[in-house]
Amino acid sequence: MIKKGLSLVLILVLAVALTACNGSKQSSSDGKTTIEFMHSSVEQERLAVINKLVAQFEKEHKDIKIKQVPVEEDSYNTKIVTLANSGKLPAVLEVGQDYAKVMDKDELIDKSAVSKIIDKVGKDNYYEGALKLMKTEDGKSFTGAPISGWVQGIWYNKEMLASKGLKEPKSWDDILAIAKVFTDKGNKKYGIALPTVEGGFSEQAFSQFALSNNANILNSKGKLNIDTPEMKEALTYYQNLAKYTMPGSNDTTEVKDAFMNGTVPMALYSTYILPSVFEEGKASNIGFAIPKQKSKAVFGTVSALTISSGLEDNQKKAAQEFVEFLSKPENMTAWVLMSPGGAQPVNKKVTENPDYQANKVVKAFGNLSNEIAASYNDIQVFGLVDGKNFLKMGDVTSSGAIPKLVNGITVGGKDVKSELKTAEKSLEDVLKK
Amino acid sequence: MKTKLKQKSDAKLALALLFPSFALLLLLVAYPMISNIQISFFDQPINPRLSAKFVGLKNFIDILTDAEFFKSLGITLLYTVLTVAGSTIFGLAVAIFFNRPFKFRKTARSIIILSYVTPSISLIFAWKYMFNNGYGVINYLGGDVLHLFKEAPLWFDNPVSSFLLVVLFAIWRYFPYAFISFLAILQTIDNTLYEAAEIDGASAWEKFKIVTLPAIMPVLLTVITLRAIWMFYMFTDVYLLTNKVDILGIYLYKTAFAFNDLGKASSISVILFIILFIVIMLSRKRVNLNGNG
Repeated sequence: MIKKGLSLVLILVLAVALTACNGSKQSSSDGKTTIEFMHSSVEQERLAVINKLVAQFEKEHKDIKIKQVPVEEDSYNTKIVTLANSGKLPAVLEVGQDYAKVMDKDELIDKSAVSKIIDKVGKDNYYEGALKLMKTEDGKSFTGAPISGWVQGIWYNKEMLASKGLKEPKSWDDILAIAKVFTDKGNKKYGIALPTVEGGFSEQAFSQFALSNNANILNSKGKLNIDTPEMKEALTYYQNLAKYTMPGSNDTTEVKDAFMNGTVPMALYSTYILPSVFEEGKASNIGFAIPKQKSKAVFGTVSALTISSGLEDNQKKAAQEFVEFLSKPENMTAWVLMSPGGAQPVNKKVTENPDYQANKVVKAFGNLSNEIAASYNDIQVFGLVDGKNFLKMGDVTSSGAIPKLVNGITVGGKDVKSELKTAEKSLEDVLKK
Repeated sequence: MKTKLKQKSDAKLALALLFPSFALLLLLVAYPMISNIQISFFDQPINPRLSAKFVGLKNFIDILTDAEFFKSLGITLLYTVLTVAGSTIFGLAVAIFFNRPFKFRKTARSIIILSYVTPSISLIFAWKYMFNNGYGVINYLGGDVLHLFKEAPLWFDNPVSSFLLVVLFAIWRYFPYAFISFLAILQTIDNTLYEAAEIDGASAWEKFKIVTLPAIMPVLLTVITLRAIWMFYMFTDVYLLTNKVDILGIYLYKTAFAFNDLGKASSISVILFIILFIVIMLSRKRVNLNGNG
């Protein structure tokens, strides 16, 4: 009796253990192929849009079922690592260009499947700048099909500038001159809201100044090339400009708040400032400028849909069909309009779409919307040299060496030369691995 | 003979009944632990289809020769000692103060535990706003109202002030745990002991030393041990408040997820486990947690 009971318990426990270990690898019970779709739209309104798109797709493809895995942005990359490591990576993932590189390095992306989708959608329909961010190191393939994006530049308050008889800043010198005029530390007024936090935001902001001075982190052979006169010049300039910004580590909240409450006439921020500007009814009072020295440099990122590697054939096919479906102009438009103004179209067909043009936020900014879309052509990012998108830039960004450098010379008041040497040393260590 | 047989079958039954929980324990505790130790000897790619490379003790050697690790370890030890001592002493003091009847005692007690039961993230945002360089209330009070400083200090940008603030935050956040534990045990102490001590002419300090301290000793040791373990592994509070205080939790996170070096991260957790294991064993040897001897 006891023996019987014991074996029964043993079987039960084993069964539980086995089910736990088996996990939720997308299975095909009831004849349907189920695939998982991981994205970062956790807010209710955004989920509603995606639910609608998924329902539409499932209606058109009766044999495919999409299981959504919405994950908060903060824990998104961590979740990818843990899921990938346990072999449970969803078939379709929304991913930014930087993390796509990290995934590509570990062979987690089915690049041929992605490239086929891009060919089907039509390469020429994408903005060139958006597509080049997703290019692989050899330039032959893509790590994801772009679906939306945002760009970053200098936003300025037209009225404030006009009140002092100043015009739109066109060059480094103009920016510095305007910043000087408006700085009045005693009254807590500053010239520009500049990112100085030890975090990704500072790397992105600084990259615009460095790249507009033709200073990149890697050279065309992919070797570390940070200690250059151009880089020093850009760092010194950034350090000077930071004298006219709010004290301490400025992150997105500080920069946005300072611009919105009139503490500063200029701010370096992404297009995600536009929804707030629209809400305050100040759409006509904002202008967009791009840092320019030797060339123009806009920072931008692309959010793309990618397909994980190692899928079974039917799942791969289903994943491809789903991404193709989402990449249709009308569906991409719905995706971009989840945050109108903030998210920008990466495909010309979206910009031309009547729904997009009729959106009240997009309409309110009038010509500025077109100006921003066109700025995709001036996108430059660290690690993208002569059309080669070096994989190791993912490690450089992950190391946090650049934000540390920017924070050190601005908030920390440290010397540019010595901080640059420190950053170079730590990056050498990172890249040696 | 009969009894022996019966004993044997009892043992079997006991084993059978224990088996499910034992198996679960193995599955949920032992398996991840062994897997963690195993990964620490490999250069583990994120992609499980790529083969992991056996690197022997390289991960351990890398960590033990990394100055950053020892710096983090030092900061973590200091952080642990200060926060454990601070929250325990403060919790005990408040508990002694509250261990007497007064008006609105229940309301006051509930207010005291507020910082412990509120989610970390809202407290952290509140602190960040309080110490914000531009519109923080601390800089407003210190600079504009009381004129204590002309230029507002960069609270979370300076390593020393950041460290002091995260310690202060932890003491404030976690003292209610000590408070609740101490208050419970203080209420079990017989008042006649204090009366007897008073008759013998004991001062307040002597009463604390001779009556209170021995009575609360078991709880005191448990509070200290548990709090020390929790603080030693702290991550969220410090990570969200500042990036100038690299405690071990943050060092581990940066290694595991920023560099995706799972092997190295596993070896750090093995090292941490060994350190903590030694500390606990030593403290258990020196003091009896049951307080009986």
